[in-house]
Amino acid sequence: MSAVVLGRPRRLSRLRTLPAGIVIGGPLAAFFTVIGLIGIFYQYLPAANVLWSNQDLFNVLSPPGTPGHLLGTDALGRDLLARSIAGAGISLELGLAVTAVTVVTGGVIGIIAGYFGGVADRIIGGLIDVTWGFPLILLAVIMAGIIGPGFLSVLVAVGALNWAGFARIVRGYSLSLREREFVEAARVMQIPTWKILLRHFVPNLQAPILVMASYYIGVTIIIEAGVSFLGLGIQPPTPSLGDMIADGQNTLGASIWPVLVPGAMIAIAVVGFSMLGDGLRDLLDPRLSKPQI
Amino acid sequence: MMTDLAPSAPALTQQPPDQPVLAVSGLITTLKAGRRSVRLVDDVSFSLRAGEILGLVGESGSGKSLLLLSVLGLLSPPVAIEAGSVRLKGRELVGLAERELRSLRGAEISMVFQEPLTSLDPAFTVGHQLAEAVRAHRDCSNNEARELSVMMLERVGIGSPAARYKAYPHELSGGMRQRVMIAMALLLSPSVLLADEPVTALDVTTQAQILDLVLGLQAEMRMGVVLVSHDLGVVLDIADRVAVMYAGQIVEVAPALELAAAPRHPYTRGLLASKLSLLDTTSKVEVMPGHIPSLADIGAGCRFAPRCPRALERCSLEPPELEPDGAERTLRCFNPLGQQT
Amino acid sequence: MSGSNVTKYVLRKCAYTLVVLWLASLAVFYGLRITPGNPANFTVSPIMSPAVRAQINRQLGLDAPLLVQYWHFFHGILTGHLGLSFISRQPISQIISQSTPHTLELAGAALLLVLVIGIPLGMVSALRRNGVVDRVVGLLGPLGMGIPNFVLALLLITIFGLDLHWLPVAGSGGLKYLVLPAVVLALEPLVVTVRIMRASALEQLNLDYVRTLRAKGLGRHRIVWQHILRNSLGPIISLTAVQLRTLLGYTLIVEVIFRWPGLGEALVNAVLTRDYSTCQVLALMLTSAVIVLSFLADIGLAFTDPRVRAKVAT
Repeated sequence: MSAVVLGRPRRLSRLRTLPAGIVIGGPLAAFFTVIGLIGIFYQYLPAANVLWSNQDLFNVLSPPGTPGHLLGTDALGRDLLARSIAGAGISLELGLAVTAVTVVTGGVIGIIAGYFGGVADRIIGGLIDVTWGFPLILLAVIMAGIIGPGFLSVLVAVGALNWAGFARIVRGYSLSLREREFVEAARVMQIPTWKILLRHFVPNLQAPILVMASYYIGVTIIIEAGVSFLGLGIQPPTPSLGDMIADGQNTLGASIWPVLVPGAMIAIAVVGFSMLGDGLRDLLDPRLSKPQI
Repeated sequence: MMTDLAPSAPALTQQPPDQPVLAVSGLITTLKAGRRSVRLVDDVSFSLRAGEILGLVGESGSGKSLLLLSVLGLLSPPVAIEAGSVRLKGRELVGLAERELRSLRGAEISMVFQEPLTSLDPAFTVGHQLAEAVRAHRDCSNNEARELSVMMLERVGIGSPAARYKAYPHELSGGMRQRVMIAMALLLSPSVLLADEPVTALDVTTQAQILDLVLGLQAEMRMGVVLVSHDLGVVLDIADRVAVMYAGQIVEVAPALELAAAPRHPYTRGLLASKLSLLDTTSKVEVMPGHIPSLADIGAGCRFAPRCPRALERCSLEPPELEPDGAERTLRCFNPLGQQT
Repeated sequence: MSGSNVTKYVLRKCAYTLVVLWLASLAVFYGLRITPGNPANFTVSPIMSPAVRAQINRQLGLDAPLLVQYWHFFHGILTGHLGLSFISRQPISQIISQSTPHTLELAGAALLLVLVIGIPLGMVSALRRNGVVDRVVGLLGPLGMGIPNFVLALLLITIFGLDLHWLPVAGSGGLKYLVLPAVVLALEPLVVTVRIMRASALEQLNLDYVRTLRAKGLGRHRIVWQHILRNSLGPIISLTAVQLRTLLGYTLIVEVIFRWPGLGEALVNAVLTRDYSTCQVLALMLTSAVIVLSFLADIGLAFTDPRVRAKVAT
């Protein structure tokens, strides 16, 4: 039995104009994604490392437009553009990883809670009560204290806080999906539960997945940047946007570019994904709410 | 001095006894939407004498509430008065500066609204809102304002007024809230009271009580009252004269008893006929076919013509004017009922 | 809503909060114990003999079973014996007593800015919808929320501190030092507050009682700043409670950038220097602050939001 998909996103042709969020956020997010993909590519190509770690000591703290350095250099003469691209790659990687974990675990738990109710439901409710509203930065720093700085602590912190929220959203969807006739029909036809859940519930979760994923990527990027800025995130020599800004702080008087370039990159990512999330929400399901940080 | 504020003083300005206390002439209120403008109140004229109750009747959407708001100058863009005159004891209100209007509102001319729960600020006590009205117009201490307010609460029939003074609107019953609204409107002995469906939101028993209250106070204070209602029965109960409104226009004005006994405008007859008497078990309910047209697409000619059983060809082509119809009546119709007087 | 229902709700929430606080202490304690690497390793040189290491372990109480250690920890929290910093040997309670006032000062100043500027600004935006103020705020909003606050902080430092030399950029000491950090901290909550206030005021402006107030002859000033303001504040109260938690999170970054000697900076330093004992206590303290704030927010909501009141009453 083929999947019954409900509540398709409105056909674009029926809308006069796309929501502002998509118009503005979409290109920004896309831009960052492209840059990030290049950055990820850099990472896995050992030869590319030299691009962002090479120290051009004749051109320390130079402004944009210096020959060979499109956006200038930092205190060690490293090319800001290349470093930002690499940093964006790390951010994107982390963003996608965390979002994937959040969406998958939150989604699974949410479906279980929504469909089966009972204990699972109660536990989720309790967990959400506790975790909702907890400042992410604080948790990320504490996690850095517990499991040590790096990729993992940010993953755990952001993932832990957001998955409960996502689980609740998915639970809501599951509750209403459970009541639909086709679910009844499938049960009557003795189709195994897991099949029902997989082939009918999951496809109908497009809306929350798309919207929240967009938000979560943005949230992760900014938390990672903040934590790295504090020195508790991605550790050098792996470049990280937050780390670059922290370095730039020391030479702020001489040149703002080491701060401005990665800062702008982060801003593009965060504003882009945040607005994209808003736009998708307007388009697909205005009831969804933005996650708190 | 307390007696300066006491609500029993007669009108402060000397005026010839038969000059109307409120005279509206050719009032036009429009709604502007882009290029188009729609007349929500179209060429309305009526007068109110001191001590008189003028009833204003019409279906919902006829513009009666908007008329009252126009008189007080309480319109907000895009709705505004386009033309006409409103004279309160001889003083022109249309075009008057907001500051002047404010000094008159609540003091010389007051308004009571339909839904007392939402019309009172839920965040402040009833007493605070009363005293506030006093202090907005008179230079007096908090205590004086409070004493006056408590006195007024008692006058409108609220028991243990001192205690009720400290109550919040949601703590009072609907009837009591409306009494509070009336008290608030009458605190400073206005010459004119505009009442917009004051009893529509109340149950029947309370309705009668409130109407009696209004009647009594009005007589005591020699106030002119404009009583708006879609319920003809309520209006005929206490009004001296009645004006009938349809689609933004006044179509007939006459003394109440005469209107009920011998209506001239077909719409008035329709309104009367659709009110059943409790004792009349034989007549069927007569319902007027159709409904008030949207003011945006009114054709030329009389606005009631599409629904009028007496419509002539002339009626669809040219609009009738509001004209005197005998000594005490005015009428807007080419083919009225009954004989010319 | 009956009084006894309220009391029951508050008590229930209280009990719940205490349980959560206790769980948090467990989590923080055990969390730090499962870290790779014995804390003692960081205060002694790795080449020290096992005997000396064992002795240090004993001194620091690290050889007792975990449960006993937890009991010491918990007991210490309750009685105020918080131990010494692993690194500096300073009593942790002293660290706390020195840092807390600074954090409170910063958070308080930020909160003040948010309310004193945000509420009137929101009201004005609502009154003159699509006017200049409204448009400007509407545009700056998403921008203010997108730019990471540490980037913004550094920009402001550059402009006001380094180029114009108007304000100092590090440390604390007087009002001058408070300005930049408070402004940076306040920015995002300010934008949200303006938006909520605007929406709330707009809702009020369309209500019937405003018409009555005008009909009474009241002046605009009084109508807006007494009546409409009072009725618009409901959502702001619950919003502020939520924002206090967010503020708590952001003080970490802001304090570090501006070298503001508060709890946030202390925690970050503790983590950076692997000062486990201090880290543990501070983490617990900040976590508890968040939990208590959540509790207060819930209670506050019960009193101001009519829908929650209805649920509580049943």
